[in-house]
Amino acid sequence: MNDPRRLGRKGAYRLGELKSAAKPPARLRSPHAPSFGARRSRGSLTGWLAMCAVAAAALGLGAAFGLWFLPFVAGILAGVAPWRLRSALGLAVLAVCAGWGAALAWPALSGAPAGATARAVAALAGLPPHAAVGVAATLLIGVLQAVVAIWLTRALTYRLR
Amino acid sequence: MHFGAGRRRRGRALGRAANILAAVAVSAVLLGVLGFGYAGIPALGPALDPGRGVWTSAQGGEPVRSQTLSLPGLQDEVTVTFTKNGVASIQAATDHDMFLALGYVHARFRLTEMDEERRLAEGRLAQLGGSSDLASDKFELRLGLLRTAQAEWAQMPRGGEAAQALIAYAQGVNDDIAQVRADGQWPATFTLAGVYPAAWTPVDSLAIQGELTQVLDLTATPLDYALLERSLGAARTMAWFPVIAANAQTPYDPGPYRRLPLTPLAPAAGTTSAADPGPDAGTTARSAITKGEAQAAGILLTQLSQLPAGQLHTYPDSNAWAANGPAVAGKNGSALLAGDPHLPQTLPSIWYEVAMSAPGFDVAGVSVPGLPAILIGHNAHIAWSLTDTQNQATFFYDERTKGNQYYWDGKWRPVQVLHYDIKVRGAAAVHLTVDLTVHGPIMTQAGQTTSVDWMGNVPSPDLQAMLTVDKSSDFAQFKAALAGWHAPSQNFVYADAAGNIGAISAGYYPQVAAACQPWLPMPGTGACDIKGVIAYAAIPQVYDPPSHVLATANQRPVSAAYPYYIGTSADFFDPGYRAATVYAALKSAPLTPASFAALQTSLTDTLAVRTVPKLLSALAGAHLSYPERAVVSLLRTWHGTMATQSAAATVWWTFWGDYLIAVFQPWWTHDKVRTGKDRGGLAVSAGQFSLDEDLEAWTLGDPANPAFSLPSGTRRTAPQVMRQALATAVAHLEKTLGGTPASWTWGRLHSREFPAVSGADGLGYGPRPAGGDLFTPDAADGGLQATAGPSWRMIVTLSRSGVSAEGVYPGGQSENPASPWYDNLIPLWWNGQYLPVPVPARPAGPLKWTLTDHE
Repeated sequence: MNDPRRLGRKGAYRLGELKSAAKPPARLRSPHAPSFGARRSRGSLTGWLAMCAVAAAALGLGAAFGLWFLPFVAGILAGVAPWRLRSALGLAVLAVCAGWGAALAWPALSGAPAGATARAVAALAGLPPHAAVGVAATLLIGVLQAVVAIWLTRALTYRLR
Repeated sequence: MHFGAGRRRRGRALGRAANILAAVAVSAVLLGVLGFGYAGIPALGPALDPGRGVWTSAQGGEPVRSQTLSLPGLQDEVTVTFTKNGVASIQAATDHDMFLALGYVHARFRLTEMDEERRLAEGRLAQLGGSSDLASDKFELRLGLLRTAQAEWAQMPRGGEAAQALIAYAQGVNDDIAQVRADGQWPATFTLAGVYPAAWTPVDSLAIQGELTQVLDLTATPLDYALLERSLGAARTMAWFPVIAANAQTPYDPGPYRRLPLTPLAPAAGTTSAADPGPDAGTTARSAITKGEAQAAGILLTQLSQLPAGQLHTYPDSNAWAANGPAVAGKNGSALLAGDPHLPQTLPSIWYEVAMSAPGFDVAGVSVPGLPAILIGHNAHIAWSLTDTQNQATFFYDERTKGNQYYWDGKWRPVQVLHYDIKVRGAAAVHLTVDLTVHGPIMTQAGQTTSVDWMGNVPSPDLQAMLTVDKSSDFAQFKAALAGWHAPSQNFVYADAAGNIGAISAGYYPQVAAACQPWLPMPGTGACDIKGVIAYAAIPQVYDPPSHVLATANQRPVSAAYPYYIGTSADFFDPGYRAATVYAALKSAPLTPASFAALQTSLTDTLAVRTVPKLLSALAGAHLSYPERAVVSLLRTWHGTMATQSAAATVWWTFWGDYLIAVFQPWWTHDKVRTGKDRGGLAVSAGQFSLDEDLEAWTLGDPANPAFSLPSGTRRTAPQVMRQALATAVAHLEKTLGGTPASWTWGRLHSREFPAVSGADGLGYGPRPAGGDLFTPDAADGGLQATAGPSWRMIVTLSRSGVSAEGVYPGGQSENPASPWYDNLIPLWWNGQYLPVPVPARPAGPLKWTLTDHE
C-alpha cells in the first residue's frame, strides 16, 4: 500500500487477493509524476449542489425559450467535470428533473390546468392517459439527453481523465 | 506474457473505440430523432419542451375570463358573452363583424377539429396524421370534395351574402391562428405532430360543407346490390331488398302528389360535360351482374371501409317533429317544434352552440365549426330542425374504356386526368392520378372500370340557402330559400310564431330512364345518365297538415303512390319504428315541451311492441325449458322499453338478431354472399333495415313466406323459426351473461360511448351502460357499444309573444380536454335535461369578451 491517503477506503487492502502487492492505479504509475503537482479535486458536496441548482435554473429558463436540447448540453458539462460517474449522472438527472419540473409546474401555479393537460398529452401520444405518465415522458426526454451526453463526453475524454 | 499484454491493450483500445463510436452514434440518433422526428415519430424534443411545447396548450384550457381582445378586420366593436356552461352569444353591429366574430370564436374553441375536418375533406390528412391516413386522402381526392368546393367558390358571386360571410368568417379564423402563432400556444395535436394549420380560406369552409354532405349522403348501396344480386340472384335480391319496404310505414307527406317535368341538373365539379346524351347513348338494358362488376364492387367497398369511421352514410339519422293548433296546450304557445339529429357522438361534438345577432339577423341554435351559419335553430319568427331524407344520391356507372378513352353517347372520348401530390408526415409525398368521365371520378379500374355520379359533387349554393333560412320569417320565405339547397337532401321541419307548421325535403332527387336500375351500377354509355331532378314543387312537402302534427324520423317521406323513384328500402330509409312511436305519442294532446322532451328520450321500440305478441303466441303450448319459461314471463309484462334495467329488452334484442339469422343466414351461406366486403351492407343483422322490414311484415301477415323455409327445401313457418331463435337466444345469453334471466339487464349488454375525435384513449367518455337501440327515438347506433345517436336535442316553443328554445348536446363547447367546457354538457344530456338556448341580441351570461380592431 503505497498511498497512505487511501488508507481506510474501499479497496485499499484488496482483502482476499493472494497477490503480494496490489497493482497501483494507472495515474500513479509514472515515477516521474511530480509530487508537488496539483491534486485533482472531486469537489465538495456544496459545490455539487450549487452546480445542480445553477444547471436546473438554466434548464428551466432554457425551456421557456424552447431550448429543448439544453439537457444534452448540461450532460456534456457534467461529463467533463472532475466528478465520479455517479456524481455526474446524479447532477444531470436532478438538474433536469428540477429544471424541467419547475417549468412544467409554473403554469399550474398560475392557474392553468396542467394536470389535465398532462393527461391529454399522454393520451394524444398514445400512452396510458394519466397525468403522471405525461410528466414522466417529458422528464424522460430530458434525462435521456443528459445521460447520453455524459456517456458521450466520458467516452471522448477517457484519456484526459 | 508480452504477447498477452499486447492483446489486452489492443482489446482495451478497440473497446474504447467501440464505446466512442456507440456514444457518438446514439447521441446523433437521439438528437436527430428528438429534433427532427423519424418516420411516424414526431420531433419529440420541441414537442415536449416544458416551456414552449405541447404544454402551452394548458393555457387554452383555462376558464374563459372577461377581457378585451384585438381582432384585425372588425368594422366596429363586437361583444361575445358566455353562459357558465360555455354557450356563446355574439352581438355585432354588422353582418361582417358577426361572421368574423363567429369565425374567431369557432377557431378559439375548435381549431384542431376545424383543421382536421378540412384536411379530411381536402385529402391532406396524411400530412398531419402520417401514412395511416393515406387511404382516406386518396379516396377524398378521387371523390372530389376539394374540386367541388373550389368550383362552388369560383361560381359564388363575390358581392353576395354567402361569399361575404365566408370571407369575414375566414378573417376571424385567421385572427385566432395569428394570435395562437404569436403566443406559441398551439393546441396539443399540432405541437405533437409538428404540423401547424395554414391560413383559413372560404374554400376550406366549403370543403367542410362537402364533408358533412358526404357523411349524410354518400352511400355504397349500388355496390352492395351488385354483390347481393351476384350471389342471391336478381329475383331474390329484389324480393328481400325491394324498392318499397314490405312493412307498414307513416310518411309525413301522404299526398296527393304532383308529377311535373324534371329540372335539369348542373354538371358535377371537374367533369367536362353533362349535356343530355343523344340517340347514340346505347341501351338501358343490362345483363346479370358480371364477375368483373362484382370484383369492382368488392374493391370499391374495401376502399370505403378504409375511410375514417362515420365518413360514409350508413344509417338513418335524426328525429324532428312539430305540432300546432289544438294539439298544443294553450299556454305553451301556438306551435311546438322538436329536433334531435342523430350523428356520430364524439368529443368534441360536431356542433357548437351559439346565438348571433346583427341588424336584420337574430338567430340561435347549433353551428358546425368551419361554417358561418346556424344549421338547426330559431330566430324571432320561425324555428327549424333537420333530418336526413335518405333518398338515393349516389349512382355508379360501368364505363367502357379503351386506353385513355371511354365510350359515351356513341363516341370515344378522352378521360380527363388530374394529378395530386399527397404530403405524408414522416414519409415521401405520394402521387395520385384521378381520371374523370362525364359521370364523375373513376373510382376503380379493377374488374370493371367504375365511375361515380354523386350529388355532393354538384356545386350548389347550400350556404346561401342556409343563411336565407336563418333570416326567414314565414313559410313562404323558408320554402323559397330552400329551393337553393341541393345536397345532402334534408327534411326541413318548420314551425312559426303565427302557429303554422310544415316540412319540406329539400335537395336533389336524380332521375334516370324508367328502364334503368339505379340501385345497381348502370351502363355508362349515356342511356342511364341522370336526366334531371324532381321539380322543387313536386318534392315531398307538407304545410299545416289537418292532423296538426308532423314527424320525420328518416322514414320514406312519401307513400308508394309517389310518382318518382327516390331510392330503395336499402337506402337507409328508416324502417319507420321511430316515426311510429313519435306519431303515436303526438296523438296524446295537449302536447307540451315536457312531453316533447319525454319523447326525445323515449326508449320505446315499436318493432318489439308489434312482434313480441307474435313471439309469445308462437311459444304458447310449446315445451319450454326453465329459463325459456322465465324469459316468457319477462316478455309478457314488458311494453317494449329498451331501458338499462330491463332484462326483457336483452332477451328481445338477442332474439331478434337470432331470428334474422335463423331465417336469412341459411340463404346467405347457401348462396355465398360475400359479407366480408361490407359487413354493414351485406351481413344479416338488425342494421339491415330491408330485412327487418321483411321479417316484421312476414311475421305479422305472412308466416308461411317461402323465405322461412331452408334452401334445401325443408319447409318452415314463422312460429317454428321463432321458437328456434328464442332457444338460441336464451342459450346464448346463459353462456354470455350467466345467472337467471331476470339478471340479464340490457345495460349489461348495451352501452354508449363518446369517443374522442383524435382517437386517443382516455379523452372520450364512457362506455357506460345505456338504454335504447336502433329503433328507439333515443337511438343508439353503432352496435352494442353505441357511438352514434342524438347529437343535439332542441325543443322550441313559438307564439306571437315570442320564441324560446332549450337544448343540449353531449359534449362541451371546447375541444381542449383540459377545459372545464370539454365535456360538461354530457351529464345534462345523459339525464335528459336541457338548458335554455341564449336569446339572440341579449347577453348570454356574465362572462364577456369585447372584440375590437384597436390594439
